[in-house]
Amino acid sequence: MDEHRTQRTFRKILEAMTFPGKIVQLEQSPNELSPLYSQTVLVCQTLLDGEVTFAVIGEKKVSQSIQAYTGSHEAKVEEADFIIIPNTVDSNEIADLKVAKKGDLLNPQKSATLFFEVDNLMDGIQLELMGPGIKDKTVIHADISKGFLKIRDELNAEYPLGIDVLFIDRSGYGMALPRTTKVTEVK
Amino acid sequence: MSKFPFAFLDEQSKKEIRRAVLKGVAIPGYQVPFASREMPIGRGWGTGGLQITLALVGQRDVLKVIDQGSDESVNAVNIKKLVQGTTGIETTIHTKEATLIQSRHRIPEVPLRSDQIMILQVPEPEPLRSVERSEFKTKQLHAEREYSGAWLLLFEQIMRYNQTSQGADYPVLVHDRYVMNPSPIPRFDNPKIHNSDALILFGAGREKKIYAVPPYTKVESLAFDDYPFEIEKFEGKACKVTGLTDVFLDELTDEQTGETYYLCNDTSFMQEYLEKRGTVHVR
Repeated sequence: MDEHRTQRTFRKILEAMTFPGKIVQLEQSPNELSPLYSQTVLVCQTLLDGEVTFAVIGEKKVSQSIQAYTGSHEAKVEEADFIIIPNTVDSNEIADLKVAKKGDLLNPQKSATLFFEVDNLMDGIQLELMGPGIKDKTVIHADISKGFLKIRDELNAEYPLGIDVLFIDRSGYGMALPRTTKVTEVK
Repeated sequence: MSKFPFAFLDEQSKKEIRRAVLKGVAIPGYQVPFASREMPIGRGWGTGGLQITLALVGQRDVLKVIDQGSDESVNAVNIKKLVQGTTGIETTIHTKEATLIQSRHRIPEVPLRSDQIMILQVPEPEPLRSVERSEFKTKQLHAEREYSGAWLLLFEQIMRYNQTSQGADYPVLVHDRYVMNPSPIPRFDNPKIHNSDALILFGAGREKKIYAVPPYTKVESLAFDDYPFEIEKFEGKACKVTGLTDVFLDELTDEQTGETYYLCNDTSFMQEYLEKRGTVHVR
């Protein structure tokens, strides 16, 4: 894997996490791993290695390839450091995320980071975001499931415990919601 | 230098640092442990900041390194040389031109922008270390949000000196949750961390900790209602060369006359100011 490509990708992920709600353009991976988006594969290649574990929701067959590309080992959802949610999952499978690890008060960093594939990060339900990295507040329109937002609220109820999410859409755009971001639906 | 990977560190080390940086951003002010690497400079000489810089830097970055406000001190020059030698990127002394700014003991006078990342070198990341020597226990105190030790330190200073005597590294409360050492920047720079436009990262190489303050994050210097936080005051004093008064000043002594004078601590800011005014630098 080209070190410059992962460096640029890391900086995009960092930019997204630094400015929640901000849309960043991610690059494609040289490796195909259907049905995952190419950009999701590159994000995995950027952050995963043998020191961390991952789980994939729904699509079991991509796990072996992710392991081969990154050296990372598959774990149960409740133990995984990184959880990959392909866009092919249904709402029942999203409920599996309820057990994602959120760290403990001594080690809030021992929590899951989600790579969550969605259709479109520039069209969908209207959400108001507040928190660190956001000047006052920002409004986004993104195709994020309400069912997931509810699970996220539950996992993030006890700050500093919680999960951090990087969404990736069909066009390869990324957008992050770290645990500090308060999300409210605008109706 | 072709035998080294780009930016010196191998991919695996970078990945680990990158993951710690992301956690730091997600949990403002919380000290994320990381496996600090041996660097070709001594621990305590900015290895924490350097490792963050090396994990972040890319081919299009422009780096500025400052040490106590100076771009030309030995430490700053050595760090710049190492990064430049292993990446080939440009360096600058101008804050405005930099995408990454690694610093020891200062945040530049020129306001930072949201497309810049500030990396501060940290000797002691633990604000409770002087009241509790055990890392095991300080970790617990952070978990329980038990910060009376930090308040007690300031209280004792007030009892003794009728003011807080803590100069640099004055503790702050980040996002209403974690008390954090801002690294030994003067109190003068503490307000710059609050609602900053730029991401600020902190690296402690010896203590193996990385932490962060994202932009637009509430950062309060600890203070009491009747003893509010105050920055260093330079009333009636001005930089001898520029005449500026609203900057952090160094107190110096003219060795010939014994006279005390003041200079801007941020030397590149001073230089830019003089160039803009077309003043010849004489001293």
